Amino acid sequence: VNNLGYGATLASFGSFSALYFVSYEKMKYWTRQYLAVSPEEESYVDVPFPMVVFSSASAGALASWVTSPLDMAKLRLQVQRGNLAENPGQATPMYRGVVDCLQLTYREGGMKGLFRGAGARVLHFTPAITITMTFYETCRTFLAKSMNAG
Amino acid sequence: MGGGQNNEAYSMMIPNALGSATAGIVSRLFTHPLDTAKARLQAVYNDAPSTTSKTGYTKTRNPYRGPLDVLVQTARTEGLAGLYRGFGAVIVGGTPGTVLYLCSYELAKDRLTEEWESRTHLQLEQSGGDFFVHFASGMIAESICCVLYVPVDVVKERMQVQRVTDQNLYKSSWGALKHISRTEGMSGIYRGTQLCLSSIELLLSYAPLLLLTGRSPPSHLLL
Repeated sequence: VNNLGYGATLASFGSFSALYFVSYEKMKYWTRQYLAVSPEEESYVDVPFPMVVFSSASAGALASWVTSPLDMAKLRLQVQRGNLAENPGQATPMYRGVVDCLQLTYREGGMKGLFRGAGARVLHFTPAITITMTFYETCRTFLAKSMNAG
Repeated sequence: MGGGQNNEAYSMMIPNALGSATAGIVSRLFTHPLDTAKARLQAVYNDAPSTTSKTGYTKTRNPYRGPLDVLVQTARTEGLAGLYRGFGAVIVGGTPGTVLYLCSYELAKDRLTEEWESRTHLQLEQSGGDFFVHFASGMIAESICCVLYVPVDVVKERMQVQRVTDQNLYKSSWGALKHISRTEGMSGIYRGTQLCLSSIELLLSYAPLLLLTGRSPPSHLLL
């Protein structure tokens, strides 16, 4: 039961990241494709700032919503681990792992149960990843330019 | 696809690192309360009476109507500090985590794109390689930075939900980390499935190699 700290976190974070970057890069590519005069120019077109924001926000919303059940399972397992450590011998674990937690939650609360907190997760992740990515892209471009100039 | 592109990727390392650090802090400053709302909603149950079940396990009944209600109730009863529980862990551990995350994403993307294009002799998107490359790079980046993210996440989420689930054990992020490592052991936080660990070890042993040599990896490792 204790063995799930890393696995659960990676299952939730990893699938979020993979999904996020696939959609984010795809949307940026579509923008470049649309703006490019010829196919050869596609990789040289700069994606306009509003489109970076839009791509990041929609990719973040999608990825965080889809992976929300995994994130909930991860949180419940983490809380459970803390409980077990505080009361050794008194409590038996409710969940055996990520899959077990998802199954039990589905049985008790259906899809609504699985997506508990999903709205809040989307509300958090969409601005979080959008601010991170746009700040990151802007900062690195700025720093790279000033370093090359200096 | 030789030296020229490599040099470009490596000269971007410092801008990437500084950019991602700033980005991580600014973003968290604004969005941490919403993360607290999420954590609290996920920790409680709609249907459960707030009692100890026969397995000796406490299910907490949902006291909230939605994300906004969490923010309002928390601010009212615990003040601003309530909304920013676990923030210390996120800034101290999460910032280097974000740097590691975005830098390894860029590095993995560059390497995989190079490898893919040199094999197919086509641009990444034209040969349909973008899905694979971006999916894999996201996964790789996450498995590397999870070294920092996992302990940060454990501390953060426990701090965020402890008032709701009635276990006020931790006073501060640092105190929580000490408490958890004492009662559960740091190894407890990191213990994962065999498969998971071995893949991380492989990536970890490989990442510094990439950074140091700047050489293309043996292709069988990546594709």
